[in-house]
Amino acid sequence: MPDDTPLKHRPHPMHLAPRHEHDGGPPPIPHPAPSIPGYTELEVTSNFTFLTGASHPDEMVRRAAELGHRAIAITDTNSLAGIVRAHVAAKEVGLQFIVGCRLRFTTPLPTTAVPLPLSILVYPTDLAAYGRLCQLLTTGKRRAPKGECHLELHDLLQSHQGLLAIVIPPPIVSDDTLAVLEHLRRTFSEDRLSLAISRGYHQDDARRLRQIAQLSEHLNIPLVATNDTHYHTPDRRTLQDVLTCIRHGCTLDQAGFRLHPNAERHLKSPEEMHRLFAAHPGALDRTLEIAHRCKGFSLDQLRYNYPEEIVPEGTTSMTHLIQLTHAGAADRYPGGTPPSVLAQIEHELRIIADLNYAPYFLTVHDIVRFARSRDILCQGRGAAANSAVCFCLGVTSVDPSRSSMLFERFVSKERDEPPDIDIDFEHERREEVIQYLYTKYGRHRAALTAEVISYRGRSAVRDVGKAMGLSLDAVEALAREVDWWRDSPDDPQKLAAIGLNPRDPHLRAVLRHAREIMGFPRHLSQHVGGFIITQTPLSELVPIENAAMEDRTIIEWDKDDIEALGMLKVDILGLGMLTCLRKCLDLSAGAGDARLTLATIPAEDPATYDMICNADTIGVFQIESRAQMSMLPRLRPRCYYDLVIEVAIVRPGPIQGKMVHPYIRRRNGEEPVAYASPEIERVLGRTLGVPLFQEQCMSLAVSAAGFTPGEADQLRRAMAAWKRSGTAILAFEQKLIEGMTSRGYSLEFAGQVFQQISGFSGYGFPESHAASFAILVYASCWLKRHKPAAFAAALINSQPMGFYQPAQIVRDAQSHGVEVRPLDINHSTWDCTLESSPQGPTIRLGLRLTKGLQQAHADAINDERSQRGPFESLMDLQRRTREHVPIQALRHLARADAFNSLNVTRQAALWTLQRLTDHPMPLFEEANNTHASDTTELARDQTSAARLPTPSPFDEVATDYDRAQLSLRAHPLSFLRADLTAEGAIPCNHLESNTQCPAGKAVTVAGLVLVRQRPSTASGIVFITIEDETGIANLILVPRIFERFRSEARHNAAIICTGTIERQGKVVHIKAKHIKPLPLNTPALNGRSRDFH
Amino acid sequence: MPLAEARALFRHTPHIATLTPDDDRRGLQRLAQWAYRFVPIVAIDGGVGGGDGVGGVGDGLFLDTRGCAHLYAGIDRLVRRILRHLTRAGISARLAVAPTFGAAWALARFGPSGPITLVGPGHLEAALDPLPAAALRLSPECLDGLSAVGIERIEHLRAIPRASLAARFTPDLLLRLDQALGTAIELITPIRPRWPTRVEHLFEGPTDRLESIALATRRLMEELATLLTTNQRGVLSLRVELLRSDLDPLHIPIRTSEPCADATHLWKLLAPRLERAHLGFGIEGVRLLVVCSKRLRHTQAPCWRESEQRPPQTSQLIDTLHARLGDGSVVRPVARESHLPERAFTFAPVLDHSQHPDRAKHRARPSAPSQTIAACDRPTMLHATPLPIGVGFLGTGAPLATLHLRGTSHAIGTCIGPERLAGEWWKPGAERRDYFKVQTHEGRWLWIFRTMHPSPNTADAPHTPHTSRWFLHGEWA
Repeated sequence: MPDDTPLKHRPHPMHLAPRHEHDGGPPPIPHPAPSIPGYTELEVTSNFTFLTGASHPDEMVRRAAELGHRAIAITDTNSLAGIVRAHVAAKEVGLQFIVGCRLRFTTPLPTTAVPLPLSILVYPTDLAAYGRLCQLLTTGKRRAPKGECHLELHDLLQSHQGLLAIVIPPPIVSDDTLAVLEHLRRTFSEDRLSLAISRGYHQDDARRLRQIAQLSEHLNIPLVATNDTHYHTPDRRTLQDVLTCIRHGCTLDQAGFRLHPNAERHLKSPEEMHRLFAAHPGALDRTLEIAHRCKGFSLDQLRYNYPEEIVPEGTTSMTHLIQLTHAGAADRYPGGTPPSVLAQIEHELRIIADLNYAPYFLTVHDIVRFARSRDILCQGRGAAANSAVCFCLGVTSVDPSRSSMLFERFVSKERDEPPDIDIDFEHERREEVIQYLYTKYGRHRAALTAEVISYRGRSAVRDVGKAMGLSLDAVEALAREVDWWRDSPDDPQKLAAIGLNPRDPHLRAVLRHAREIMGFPRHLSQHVGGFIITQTPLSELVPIENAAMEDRTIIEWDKDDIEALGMLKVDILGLGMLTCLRKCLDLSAGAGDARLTLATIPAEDPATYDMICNADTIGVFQIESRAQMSMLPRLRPRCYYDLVIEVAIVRPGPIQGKMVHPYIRRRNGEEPVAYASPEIERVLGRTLGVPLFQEQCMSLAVSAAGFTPGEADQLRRAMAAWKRSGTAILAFEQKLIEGMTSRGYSLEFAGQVFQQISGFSGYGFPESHAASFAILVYASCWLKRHKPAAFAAALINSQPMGFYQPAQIVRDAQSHGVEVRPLDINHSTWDCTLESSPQGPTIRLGLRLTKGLQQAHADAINDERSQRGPFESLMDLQRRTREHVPIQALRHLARADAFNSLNVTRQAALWTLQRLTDHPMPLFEEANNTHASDTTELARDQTSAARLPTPSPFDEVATDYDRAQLSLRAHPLSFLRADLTAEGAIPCNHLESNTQCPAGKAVTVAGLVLVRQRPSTASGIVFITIEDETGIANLILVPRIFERFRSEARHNAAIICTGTIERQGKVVHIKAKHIKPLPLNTPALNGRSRDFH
Repeated sequence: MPLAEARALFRHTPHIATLTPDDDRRGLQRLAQWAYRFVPIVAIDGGVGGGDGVGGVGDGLFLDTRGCAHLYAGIDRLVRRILRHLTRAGISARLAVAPTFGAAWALARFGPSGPITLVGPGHLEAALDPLPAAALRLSPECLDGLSAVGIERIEHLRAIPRASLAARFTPDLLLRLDQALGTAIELITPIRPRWPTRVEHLFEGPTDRLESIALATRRLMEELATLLTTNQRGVLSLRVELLRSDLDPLHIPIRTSEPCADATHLWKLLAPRLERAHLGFGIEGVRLLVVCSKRLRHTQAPCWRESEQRPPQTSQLIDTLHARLGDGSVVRPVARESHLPERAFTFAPVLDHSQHPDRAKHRARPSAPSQTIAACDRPTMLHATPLPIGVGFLGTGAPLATLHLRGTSHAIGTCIGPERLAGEWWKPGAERRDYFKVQTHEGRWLWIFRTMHPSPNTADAPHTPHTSRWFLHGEWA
């Protein structure tokens, strides 16, 4: 039977249940007694025929096993996307799985223009035939737009070898069809073709059966019985109807004959099939025969071949890897490799050699080597940081001598799955790496993996609600409340609260189906960066289709499928902070300082930690968020490992596991640090007895409960899937608690440990990951502390990234004593640059801040300036750049007020530019080209410009914000200060003083909205940060207040807020009571905040 | 702003309708026709940037009021009257009267608050100066250029030498400025008024003699028929108005199923209702007004049998029945897509004029069904309520042998089936049925079914889960 728990995201069957190999227990579903008649379902449409099948492939397989089938096929339309899941499930329940595919053709019949109404099911009988099938589908998909497959019968006829085929006869058999059938029979020689009959309980079943039997006799094609299965149990029929409606974009009432008339398309038991096909026993035997002939192929035969070019001639991959590792270790540790690291390297190399993963490490090394050669910053993250080999190869940066490694988290023998290495690259240059991979291995050998986009709560209720004829209002109301009904869908009070009748059976049916549909795949999309690279052509391994992005191709399987088949995957990810760091290092080197790299940034600098403790972290990596900033003064990190903890602790996992406060109390000495045993102390010593990382849970299981490292890894997987499947982790609860009590721990303590582990659910941070990130955190903080100008400039140059806008970055830099100069046509380049001044480096804003300006135009202006000196006047600028820069670009610059060095105001410049055109009249060109005519023209402009209304200072600032993202003149709120004081609002910087603003005092503040956040862990509380000319204020809106002032809080660029002060040490919040919009009568400031939606 | 964002602004779900420019334009055209009752020239506003007023379609009407004011004793009374009528029709409007169309356009949209603005010839410039530049019907690019240099209002524009403006902005700017100020001519393109097709006859005095009323009405019918035939239109809906001397006019609506320009047919529909009409103290006149008409279909005149009468049309029968029996009494079956036999058809009123004929084509049509009715064999007669029957088998698991219907037993010869219909589960009372087409020994083909899951409504009826209940649903005649 199907799981009754609703799944937000359906886990891959591989993750669904713990493996049973280690228990030695029987498979969960017993084999049927061999005496009953045999039947194999060969026409199965799973939900990977999107919006058609109503059961997951693995549900089909499990149900088939329950019913006593000995094999089952999955035949999705023109797709093999679901077969891996079915294969994994079939292995688990001990069923033969038959790879199959339903082919539909777009070609018209020879004599008419109607498309060929046949669908043909094909099944490969050996590896070569499977390769041909993949190639066939690839051909069809590559010639069609994304998500479609244009096949012609001709394609099949060319790659028929080794394939068994079943023809589904069309409702009306015409002469054309007969001819096609004849042709197919001749092509599929050696009795490889069959003709399908099925009984759908239609009125003319009997007649149709007779007809097809006659046809079979006439053409000499054997009959085969199928049931055209669309769902695994009859009760899924209603869901299938809903899916059909979603597919056709209609409601159930309108669907009419598009729905199936009955619920018979479910998997039926062999006995039932024998009853139905009593008149055609041969057709049933034929299914067994086909299943038998398909035994020649299983997905397990797919041999993944590593690319070979990464190994130099005359050496094996393993020796090459050993060489590279030792060479790398020598680089990493110039003073000699520490013995513990050496031992770790030996340990890892042994496992790698055993599992034959050397080519994988070499492939990754090659990518990293390429990036280094192009000066692209990159850093491995995730589990790979647990590996000393990866550290030596330069893939990761976490020094194994400084943290404890759990290599089994990364590669384990028990798992026999390839390791998964994620590498971050500079986000602006990731494409270079991707193109390198395509060029090096070719498009036929490298492709992105797919991401299966599934129904989630909101999309599920929207689509189901619409298909079931709910009004759009009701659908929206439900979709908005998706959070609760996913967990407790039958809560009548909540339904009533949004104006729906909880007793309405129709509404309950909507919710039931919406829950059922969650986790159903909707379409395939491209994974962000998961690359699969092979030695042999990829299209013989898996069908390849076009992605939505141009020049991208994706395979049909997602990362779980690939993992299940043991294929290599490298994640090429983009990280904005790496871009920023590289730019910052470049800038500071260009400003005359010594060239720094990430590795040479001075470690453990006290001044940097002082800055971090003061929560002065605008713009740095990770710890710049509101939650992180409020945690910093309490945790007071003083060393690298404190940063690792800081990164990991402000996460949903530890917060929900209630580990944050115990840790802070212990760290501040308010609570004694005690360990139940020395083993526990060894594991949890670093984090004062509070488990904060996934690895610690695994180690705890190993050392305190006697798990093997492989089992501990399964525990991790179960932890990740706990929220979704719920049951998997329970199997471990018993084992963990028993293991711990038998080792002398108290039952209470064991239960507490288990609670903490399950608290991690899907959100725990692995230590290795946090360690990788902490390196970037420290580097960015150090640069912010010691190179504030370069850091701010690099940050602006890397936009968009992070939480803050250029305006805040600039204001933060200014408050750290950095001078910021306005963008100017005679001084700025596209990017922000550093200029020297007596006070140290100064930021010159870049033309990139100009709204509407293209980089090519900015570069053309720069080139001209660097070749022939600065521009003297507007006319001079226009004449010299006329070839490359349109007037419109100059107007954009004028609006950003970039002509200050020409002594022209924004208004005057625009007035002059308004007169100029890209194509001066040829007659006047000569006359126009003289300096004298320039002067008279400009003089005339001046007189007429004098008649223009003078813009107010506020207008100037507002235009600055609109056209250049920030203003160096004044803060917009400074113009309103008098009004604000009259309203009783105080400047934000008054909040800092404890005497002026004690906790509990009611205050009113006003400001521009910088950030709106609604963290998922904060149960609906909304955080808003506002800024005025003196500083920032942090507002807290409880859900009740947020709902009351929803539109004010959500959509205004500036607000005025009344509330009470809350203080926690240096951290000041205002608990909002009342919010109203602040009228800044300009649209320029709107839409500038980083919002949660 | 995307819709989702707009929605989020509201605490409650707002009413959302799709913008249909075509419908808007049609509405505006109807309103323009309507405005002809006040002034002799009406034009639809050409919209922003339309240049000479023929480019686009805006959201307003130009009414040329020259020479009309005295008819209403003053221009202000005319404007108030128009506003009153519009308000009554549920249309909120702003009206401005000015010496130029341009100024009126500007004032109606950007003028002082309040629904009516009146500006006399001497105050034009003063009234325009504080308005924003957008009031001049300028293109967005032009407005953007103006606001970039700080020109927000019309007074700013007027302060700048014309030559400087001409050098910088499109010629449109000066033209629009001049049109608003009355120094350039603005031509508007009036829409052509369409008068309703109507004929009327006034008696010399009130009469209650049915014969003379009938005679006059017949004549009017013929007159109307001629009028319609020359225009090649046929009437779908006609209003006969009897102007009673002491009462409100009596309206008799007449509807036809097909466009009709045949006086005899129309008269046949009217005559019985005229007889029943309450004439009060007599009527002063008869008026026929075409409410809805459609292009008349051409019919070829018979070539050989000139004198032969055209065969009576079904449509005429329908019309007659409809006229006699009243609205909603004449229906016809319409096929619906449903697997359930009793839901596979529905009855629709035969004359459904709630749907405007132009709109009929917009009605959603079902897409190509995967399986058509034709593929199923359905009985010619269906019982409105299935009749419970008893059945007898030869033995367990054996085919049907006998059928007990209304106390009579019928032996069964042939049995085709089952056809399994699972019912429409989203409706209450859904049940699964197995249909059989059986032939009795008398040769009757009957359609019977058994229910597998009794519906909750009939759950009280005695049954055991293993006995299915049998019904007769139809018969092939």
